[in-house]
Amino acid sequence: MIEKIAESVQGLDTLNRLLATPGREVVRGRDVVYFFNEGGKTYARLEDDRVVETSDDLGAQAARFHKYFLRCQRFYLVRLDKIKGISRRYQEWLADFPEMDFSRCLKGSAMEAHRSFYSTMRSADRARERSRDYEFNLYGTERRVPITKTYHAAVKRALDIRHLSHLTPEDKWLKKLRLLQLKDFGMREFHAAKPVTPAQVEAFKEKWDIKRFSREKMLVHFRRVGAAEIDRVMVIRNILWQFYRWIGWGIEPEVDGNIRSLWYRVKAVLAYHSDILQASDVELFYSTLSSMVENDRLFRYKDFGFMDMNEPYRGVGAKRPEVVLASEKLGHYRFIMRLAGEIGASFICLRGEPSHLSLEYFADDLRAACGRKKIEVYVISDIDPAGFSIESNLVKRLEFNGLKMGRRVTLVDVSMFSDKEIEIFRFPVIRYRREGSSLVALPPSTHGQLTKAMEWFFGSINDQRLFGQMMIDGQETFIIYGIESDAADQLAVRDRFLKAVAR
Amino acid sequence: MKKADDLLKKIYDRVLSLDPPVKKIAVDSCDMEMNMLFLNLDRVCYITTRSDTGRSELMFVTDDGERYYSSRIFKSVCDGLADHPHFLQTSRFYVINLTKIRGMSFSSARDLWFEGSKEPVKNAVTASFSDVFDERFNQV
Repeated sequence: MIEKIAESVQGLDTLNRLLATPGREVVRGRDVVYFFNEGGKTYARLEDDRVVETSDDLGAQAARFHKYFLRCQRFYLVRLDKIKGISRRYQEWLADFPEMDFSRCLKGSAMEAHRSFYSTMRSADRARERSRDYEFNLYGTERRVPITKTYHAAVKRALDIRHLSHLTPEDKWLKKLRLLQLKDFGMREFHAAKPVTPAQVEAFKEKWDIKRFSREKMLVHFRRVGAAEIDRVMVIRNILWQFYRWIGWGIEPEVDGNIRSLWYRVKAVLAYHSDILQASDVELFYSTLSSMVENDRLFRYKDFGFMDMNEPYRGVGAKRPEVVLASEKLGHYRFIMRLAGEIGASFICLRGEPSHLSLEYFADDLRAACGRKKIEVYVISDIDPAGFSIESNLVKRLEFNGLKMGRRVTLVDVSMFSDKEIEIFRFPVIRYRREGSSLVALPPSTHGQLTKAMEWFFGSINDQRLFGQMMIDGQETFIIYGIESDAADQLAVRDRFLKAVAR
Repeated sequence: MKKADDLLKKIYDRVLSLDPPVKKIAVDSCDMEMNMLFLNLDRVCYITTRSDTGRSELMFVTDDGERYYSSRIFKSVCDGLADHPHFLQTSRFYVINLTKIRGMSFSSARDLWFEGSKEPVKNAVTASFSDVFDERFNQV
């Protein structure tokens, strides 16, 4: 106990210890923000941002101020109570690694190129490794002090944290946002004092609207790891996230247009302030939005107020809303509307692959009408890989939107057609040849289409009447056929539908 | 001998109170560039969970009235400060810094006034924590 007391009492006075400098100045430990080594000498940066050389080296200072100063890099010793925060440290790695010139890989002999390539890769690894560095923000100076990997464990122990990148344990939702690198700019400020008047809202937006950030500010917040450049995907993700949040907070109007309208809104403001997105980035914008909706499930398209172009081609039944009659073709609109109307069922014309946005609206309407009842889907689709995909995606996306699915009935299938009819109506879906042990799709089809066609045909159809082989250009060629759903007799489809529903 | 040990323990506790072993606590940074911010614990008046208001976050109030937030779990913060000579859990929702108390109203649940704030923290000490609060309050 006495030792512990002695140690603690000694600690009380540690920061008052005096430090001699070669320049005759004497400073106290509590005047120092951090010590550092440079050119073989040890210096102390003081609270007034002055730098003085110290007589003792860094090791001696570490021992003298044990528990009050923390080693975070070979050349840095930081005073614990001066630590303000931790930031990610970005390397100007291209400047740090001039040898990272990939053009060298293309010059000289093969061996030289090989060696050069691996040397370049090692440099890239080192740069990547260094990109995981962090730095301390300090009270008393604007300068930052690096924390290198060797000292991560000691820093975490001293500050009682488990990670340098984030606090733990954390809320599940916040963790998701962190992993997706989404930032809620201005959230605290908004909740502390909600902007009400148009002037307050404008002032809030002026401060926090990502679209209005300068390039420099963009670089600070959305920097690609390991490079001094802005990560455009991260910017788009955060702009979309901010849009969603602000619409929810009531300070941003809904889009009231389509996704392209939103793109123009974003692009125009960005072009004025930072100009980091080009017109060609529209595809990147679309794919980022769909990934946030469909993969990350952060929000729905509907939350942005996008208009549904398919709205006129769907309806919820009055008597049996849980029965859904769907067709992939717009040409069937009147037919399915009439047929669904006969029994008071719901209907939808998908116009090709079902749109996520349309199905969000449709699923919500169905849920409002059916409650927790299981949804039965009766589909009119072409007998081909695309029709099969449309049918499957319709069911998947209704499920994705929270509906419980019951029966799924295909109303048009091969059994509706006689051999003669099949011979008349069938059309080639894909042609392919066997080359050695592999199959090759004939243009204009692609290998991906061949794979899908094979899966569809041999997985679910497997009817020899839709399979043929013939000699083309002297080579044996295989053909998989399909049948358009328009070829089916509508009376027969009606009959099938009514019987299936009654079952 | 036992008397001497008790005395040494008292001296040790007093020294720890003058120079507590834990000095910093990490909170979310308002500056989006920083991953986290470190508050000096000697500036924190109290820490409260906001679960009573439906928010899953902690709020740290300092002696200059500033509020800082953290997504950490209340229990983990309580555990981290369990041996701190100045901090004490006084209700399901509050951990307080005993050295920052500037006023108190006595009733079944106590309201506390903290340095830098004119408004009291209502029900900061609830009945089930009042005994331990009284004991620790008299030691500070």
